[in-house]
Amino acid sequence: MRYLFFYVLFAFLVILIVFPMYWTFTLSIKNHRDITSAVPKFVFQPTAANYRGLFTGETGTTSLPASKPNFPRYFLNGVIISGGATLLAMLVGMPAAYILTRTHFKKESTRENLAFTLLSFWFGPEMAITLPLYRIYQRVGLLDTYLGLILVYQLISIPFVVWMSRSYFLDIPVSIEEASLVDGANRFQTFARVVLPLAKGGLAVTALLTFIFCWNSFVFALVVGGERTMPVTTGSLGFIRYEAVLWGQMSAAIIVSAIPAIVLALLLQKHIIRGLTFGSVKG
Amino acid sequence: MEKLILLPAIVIPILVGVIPFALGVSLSFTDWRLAYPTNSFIGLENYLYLFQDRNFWLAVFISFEYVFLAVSIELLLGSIVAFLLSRNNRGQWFFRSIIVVPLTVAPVLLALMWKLMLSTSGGVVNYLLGFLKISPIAWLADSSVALTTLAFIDAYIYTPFVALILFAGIQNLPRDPYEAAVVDGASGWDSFRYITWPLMRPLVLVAVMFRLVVSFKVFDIIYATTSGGPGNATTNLHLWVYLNAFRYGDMAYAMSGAVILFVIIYILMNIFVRMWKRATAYM
Repeated sequence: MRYLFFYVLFAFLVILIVFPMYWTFTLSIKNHRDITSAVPKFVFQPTAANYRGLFTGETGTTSLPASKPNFPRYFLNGVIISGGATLLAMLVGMPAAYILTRTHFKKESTRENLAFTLLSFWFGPEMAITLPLYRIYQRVGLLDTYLGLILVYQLISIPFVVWMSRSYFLDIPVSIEEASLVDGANRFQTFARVVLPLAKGGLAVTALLTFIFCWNSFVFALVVGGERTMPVTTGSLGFIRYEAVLWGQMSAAIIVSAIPAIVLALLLQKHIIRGLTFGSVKG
Repeated sequence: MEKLILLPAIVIPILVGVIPFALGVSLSFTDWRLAYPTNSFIGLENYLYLFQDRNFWLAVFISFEYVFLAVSIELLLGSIVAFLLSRNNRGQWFFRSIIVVPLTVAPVLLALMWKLMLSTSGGVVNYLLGFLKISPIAWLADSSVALTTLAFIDAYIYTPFVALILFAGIQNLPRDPYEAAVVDGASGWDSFRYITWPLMRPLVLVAVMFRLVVSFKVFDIIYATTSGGPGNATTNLHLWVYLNAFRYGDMAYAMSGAVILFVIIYILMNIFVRMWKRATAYM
């Protein structure tokens, strides 16, 4: 009896989690008439028109304003910005994390204080920074540019990379490195030849999760991004201006935008909670 | 010398984070508007006006209300899910794979999914509730339920986060004290009260504080679904800042609100960091 109760509860929770995604998927393969019918249709003739429309710009309606959502562009923008931000953050953050875990500090508390100061950027309210940043970017011409967005994304990606890779470096016993140092290798050689190979898996996880965080980020792209650099998060909202007109395409856009994250989630299942807690909870 | 490696990881966040924020604070004492390039010093005027602005206080209140609703739902459901996960060994892998998915898809996209499903014209939620003889509800358009609806969408996205942290904690619980307690004739409740809770408390507090800080500055979920409406029923402080800046063009006034938002987050974050340090000391 008790087991039955557990399984029923399980099934209920699984349905609760999966249903919205399933439903959005069905909307994405429905035609306009089926989507807007007063009674939601569970049985319908599937169509690929929404997906096709997403990439060709065909909307299937005539009542459309001049500017159309340009989804392939948004997707490409997302890849460029998130990829660039991840690359930069890994280059900057990974060695910094290593130094932070291994170098001798005059005051031991400096180590912790630096790490937590970095982390506070991740938690800060985005608007408090992006409003004045909007003004600065306007002056220096970084508004609506890839470089501008990649730089501001460092506020979330550097703290994350530093914390995550720090947690993987801490997993490596210091004695292994000391052996290498005793053998005459310097800090950099030890890092490149001993630490990196050992932490490689963890660092790959770090990079992938950084990419997802940037891919999912919203506020920065909303304020200091624009038509040219719009990623999928702000881009998907573009379908809503013509509410009830482009629901099918918006669903298709949601599905396509969510796929990279879902695939990575299933691959990295075991590491997700470690990532979301900056390496401190090793699920 | 090695410490120079830390430099880029500190300089970049200063450039795109600290400097803009400092500029923002100073601009909050001016009459900076979106449309005008020049601005003059007006002292504390924005702040004095802020404290008399009923909409501002309402936004502060709504921020706290949202946090309270969302975090309580997440803690309650999260505990249940964590408990279920710990009880079920066979379905665990499958269930874990399912619940990490909402955590990796962009909150904006998940919020949009719910917006489609909660629609009053042909939305599937009202349709399904119709079978239970529940008459249609304007989930996002009725000002008396909109905020609660948003809290549930938030819970859909972040309950797995709380659940996975708690689950990690449950898995790390030692076995011995429980066996000793059984030998001593303790009841299930006693074991929970005197063994489980003291051991789990630091982790529970970390999960709650984490969610508290992040949901206090929530923006994307609200922006994608209600944009703060109907009226200003779901305009939290973060949205209030955005709307004042880009809808009304009063950048300086918005910035003064952003400074208050920053101060509140800063206080919450400090409590959080202190708890975090204490909790991770055990792990």
